[in-house]
Amino acid sequence: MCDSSQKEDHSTSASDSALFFNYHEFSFPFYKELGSEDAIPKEHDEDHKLCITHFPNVYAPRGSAEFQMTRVVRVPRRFDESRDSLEIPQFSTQLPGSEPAAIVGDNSSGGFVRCGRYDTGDHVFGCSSASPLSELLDAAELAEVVRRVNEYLRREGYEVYGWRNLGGVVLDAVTGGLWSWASGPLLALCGPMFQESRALEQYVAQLNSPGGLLHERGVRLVLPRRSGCLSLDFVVPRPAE
Amino acid sequence: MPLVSRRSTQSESTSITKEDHAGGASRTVLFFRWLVTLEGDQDINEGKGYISIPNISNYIFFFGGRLRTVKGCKPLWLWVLSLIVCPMVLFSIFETHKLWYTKNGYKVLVIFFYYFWIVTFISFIRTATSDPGVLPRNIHLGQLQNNYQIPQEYYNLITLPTHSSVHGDITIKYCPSCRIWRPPRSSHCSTCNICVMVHDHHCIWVNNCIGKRNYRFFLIFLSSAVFSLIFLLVNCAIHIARESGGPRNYPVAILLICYVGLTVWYPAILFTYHVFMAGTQQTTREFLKSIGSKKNPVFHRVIKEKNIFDNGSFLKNLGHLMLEPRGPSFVSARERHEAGDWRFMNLSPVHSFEKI
Repeated sequence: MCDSSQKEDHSTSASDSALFFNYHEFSFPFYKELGSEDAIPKEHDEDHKLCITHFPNVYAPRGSAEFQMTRVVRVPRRFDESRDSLEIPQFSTQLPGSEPAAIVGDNSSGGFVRCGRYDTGDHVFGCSSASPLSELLDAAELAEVVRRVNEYLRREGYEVYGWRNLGGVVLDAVTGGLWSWASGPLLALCGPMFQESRALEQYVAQLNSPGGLLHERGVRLVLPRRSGCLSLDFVVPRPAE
Repeated sequence: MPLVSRRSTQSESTSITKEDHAGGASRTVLFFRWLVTLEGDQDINEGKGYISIPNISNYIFFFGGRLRTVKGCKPLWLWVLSLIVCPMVLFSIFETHKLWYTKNGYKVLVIFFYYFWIVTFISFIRTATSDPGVLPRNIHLGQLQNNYQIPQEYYNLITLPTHSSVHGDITIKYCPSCRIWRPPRSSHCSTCNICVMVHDHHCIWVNNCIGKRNYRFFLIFLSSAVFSLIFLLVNCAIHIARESGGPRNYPVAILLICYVGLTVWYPAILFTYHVFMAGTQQTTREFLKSIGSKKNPVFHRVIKEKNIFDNGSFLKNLGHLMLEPRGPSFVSARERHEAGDWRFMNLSPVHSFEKI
């Protein structure tokens, strides 16, 4: 098993064969083992470092019950699936833990296997790149959700030579930028046809609402606009021991 | 290594409600805060963005977040504003009527001057006071313990593969100030204290960053400034040509021609520089990095380095950077947010000896 720093060495030293991995995860050797409530944290060897794959839920206030009871699994941005992914936010369609350079370790099943407790609140982590999201969604379901999000992002607001953008450029040039300032409220008055597309928002709302795929699994997808399209964040229940 | 905090961290105390706050503050105070929001308040993290953003940046907001500028900088933008407004005022008082009431159809030249002047003025305001593409903070918080300690792995430069049609891998970096993995081409502006998408540079003349969301306005500002100056020159030259008698009869026209001769070069050169930058698919920041110099990049020979963003042709590159969609505002000064929003929390700064 290798840790993430080894992965980075690998990727930087051989740029021709850089492999994709979830760069949000990190490892930590000093942690409490599972089993007893009052276990004392101790140092572990390279092969048994914890791999931190879920993070504080920054979409809930710190003191709230939601913050205590939920965590965030981040699906990273990916740049190797299409040329325009350098400009348009596109996210990995692979479940965290199944990327080409993910840490697999002794975990051949690919699932989230609990190893120890770490961080404020004694959260449970495994020793591989697999995250608690693996217990809630399968690879095909996640791929389908991310593929559709990527498609919406590609269509909405990032197309350089689309009529909406080019029209906006011309009208901004003619009005000195007044168009962008006034167009939002003006187009809203002209009816839904002219409004900025809200298809991605509607899709995410549908996934998160009762009857939606994610709602049924107890997962919530954070709207990419809320996370600045920096990562595709899934709010999952706090993993139990 | 634990990080040393220079100020107390945000906690549950941040969730003081707006009503509590409003109860203690008079309407006058709230009105003045709406008019000018100079400082953030660590205890208020609720309401509209303009109230909370000053907590985590050096922005000052006006009129409830409709306009912004950066505090702690020399007000050079006032100087630029006066350079835009004063010639128009002089032209309007001393020149316009003489050209307007001729039979030779010079009115159209006067109209063109005023049109380009208005476009210059509005685009200057839009460049200087709009969101350049601010990225949200604290989205990629690693952990809570040890005062939100940043994991060692987050200090590495991460190399990731790109599409087979792109020559080279991409390197991305974590911003320890904003606590986010920065997307390609974005960077942290130490003057504004925020990360900006497709960051070109921080412009001292407009006192704002030039980034993905206001690059368009910046280019319109430069080009329309050149056109308005040319029409100013033409109008004044016509006045002089039509006037009989010596220079005493048209001193303002001479003054304005001198003004045009002195000022037209800067926006013209800067616009040409940006055409070459965009054509070679480089931002000013990337260009400065490639030439390894802190000198004025405008007067440096354009170097075309191997660049993974290069689309192969000058025109394609030009289109991609100059016509780039503005995209949504991720940290809006006008939108409401809930209490205790992590995006507006100033977490403990990294210790001075840690790499930024």
